[in-house]
Amino acid sequence: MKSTKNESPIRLLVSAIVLFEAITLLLIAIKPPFLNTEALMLAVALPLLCWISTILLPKFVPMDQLLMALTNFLCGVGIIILYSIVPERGLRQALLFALGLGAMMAGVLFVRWIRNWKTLCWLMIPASIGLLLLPIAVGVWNNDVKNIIAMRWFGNFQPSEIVKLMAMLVLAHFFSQRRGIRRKLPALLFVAACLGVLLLQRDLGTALMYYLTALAMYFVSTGNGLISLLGLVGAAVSAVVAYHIPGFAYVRVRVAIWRNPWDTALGSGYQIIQALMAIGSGGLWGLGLGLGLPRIIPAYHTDFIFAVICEQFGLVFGVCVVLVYVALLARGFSIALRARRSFYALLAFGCTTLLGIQTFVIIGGVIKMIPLTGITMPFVSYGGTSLVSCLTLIGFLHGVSARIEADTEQDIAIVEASEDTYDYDYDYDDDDDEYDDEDDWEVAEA
Amino acid sequence: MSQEYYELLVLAARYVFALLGVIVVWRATRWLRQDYRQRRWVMSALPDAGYIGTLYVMEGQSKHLSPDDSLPLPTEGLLGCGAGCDVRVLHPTVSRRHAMFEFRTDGLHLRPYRDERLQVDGHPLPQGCEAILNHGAILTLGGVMLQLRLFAGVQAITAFEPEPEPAKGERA
Repeated sequence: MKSTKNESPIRLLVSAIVLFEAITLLLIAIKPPFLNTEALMLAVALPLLCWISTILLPKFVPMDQLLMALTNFLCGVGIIILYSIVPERGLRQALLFALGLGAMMAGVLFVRWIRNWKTLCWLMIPASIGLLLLPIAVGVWNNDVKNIIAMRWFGNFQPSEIVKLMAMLVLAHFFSQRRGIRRKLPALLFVAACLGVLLLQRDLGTALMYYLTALAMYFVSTGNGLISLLGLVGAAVSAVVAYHIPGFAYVRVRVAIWRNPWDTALGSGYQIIQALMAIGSGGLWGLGLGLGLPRIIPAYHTDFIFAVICEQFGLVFGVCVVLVYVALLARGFSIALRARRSFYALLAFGCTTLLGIQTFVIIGGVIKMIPLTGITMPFVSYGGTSLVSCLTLIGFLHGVSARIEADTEQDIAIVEASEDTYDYDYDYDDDDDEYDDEDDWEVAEA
Repeated sequence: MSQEYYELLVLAARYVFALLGVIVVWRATRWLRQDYRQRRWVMSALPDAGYIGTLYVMEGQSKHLSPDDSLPLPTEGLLGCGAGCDVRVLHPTVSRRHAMFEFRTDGLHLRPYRDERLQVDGHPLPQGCEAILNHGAILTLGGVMLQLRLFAGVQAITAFEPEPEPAKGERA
């Protein structure tokens, strides 16, 4: 087979990412009045981690280098932005990135080596519901949403981020069953239960992600356009109902500030106006790393981090970040299309769709394309659970990619074995009763 | 370094960052295109990649189907005339979704979809039952008679990886 190792654009891609990380962190390190040694250490550690995970690690663990490189770039941008604003947060994010890489490895091996998913998926269903119920019992309210648990040493923990990993596996397993709606029912009930708990937490952003991903996976697995369309209509009706009922009054506020934030410029529309002003003031090339006023934007480190990127690095760089997400999604869908078994295809499709919806919802909200929903920007926003779960999703994609490589090797072996044994002589004699033997087939009651 | 010089340096660095961002996007796009071409090349070198054999049409004539046709057979999927089927048998007597199949180490597992009529080697396959077909087995769907022809090297699959144990009650 033709080797493409030398032709691969990996070296220049990784060099560009390493250079970006090193220059930005060096700039932060030499910022007057004193030399920041911590940033200097990070300027060495982060590019090194990028190089190890993209070039060295795939030699030992089966991984997709393009996915790894793009993930490194996005995580790097997040760490640098956070470090330039609040160094403690940036440092914590870098540590969580290293932890997330470990989780990614686990995800790769999990998908690569586990064959029997049935028992595991049945166990994941009650575990997921239990995890989702935890914040209702012991969680804390955060911006009208009760979806996190505050831990003294660990920090905030968001169970719905971990549950989305399990949900992908459960949905892929049950939707890959080709035996009608009855076999898919546990997955549908599971999604319904998850949505119910998320509504109790008032976490509409996460509920939207779960619902749209499940719907897309259902459509892809069954090809049933009518039910999928009904699902979409149902979602639209639910959104209208949520808009009108008093329990979800903040939905009405979000829609109002989306339509015209200037009405409440110093109230609920303040954050979106500040985000838009930050993007505008950045211009094409940005105000320069560390020179803007990102702290003015509320939730600058989580929901509105894309506005900070545009302010500091400019619109050109912001568009590049969006295009990197597009490339990441294109790679994910390409992996899903190449998978041989429906379980792996659905898993890759689900993980990619989930990341795509999450990215679209948050970036669309920040640039006022759609009403703002409080979810994190994958790989970039500050948040340990989100970063680790997104990296694990990428780990699943790596695992599926590794399976595809193994399947291609099998194909080559089959062709070679075929060439060794027969030369595809299919002049089969219809009168030959060699295969009419009763032993060649068997019927069994299910 | 004074604050003024530092600000000048940061302002100049903005263009470098934008350039590096463009390079990342450009190389990623090139990688995707190159990978697509390489996949096409591999697929052209392995025309049967992803398939375990063919279903040879012995009987059954329609506008889109004629005897001696060979339908490529993937490792698992649906058999029928519907657009979503993995193996499309375009014949008026074949249902949109007629049967489900899955290749395992012991052969091709075939099961009728709902209550569709199916015969394996001349024996009717009752609803809810599963047949295990090997090379040369003949299946009849409506007015179409098909013969299973597995690739000679398909047995190599079993040498690579053992299939997971089937669920209890799924087959004998």
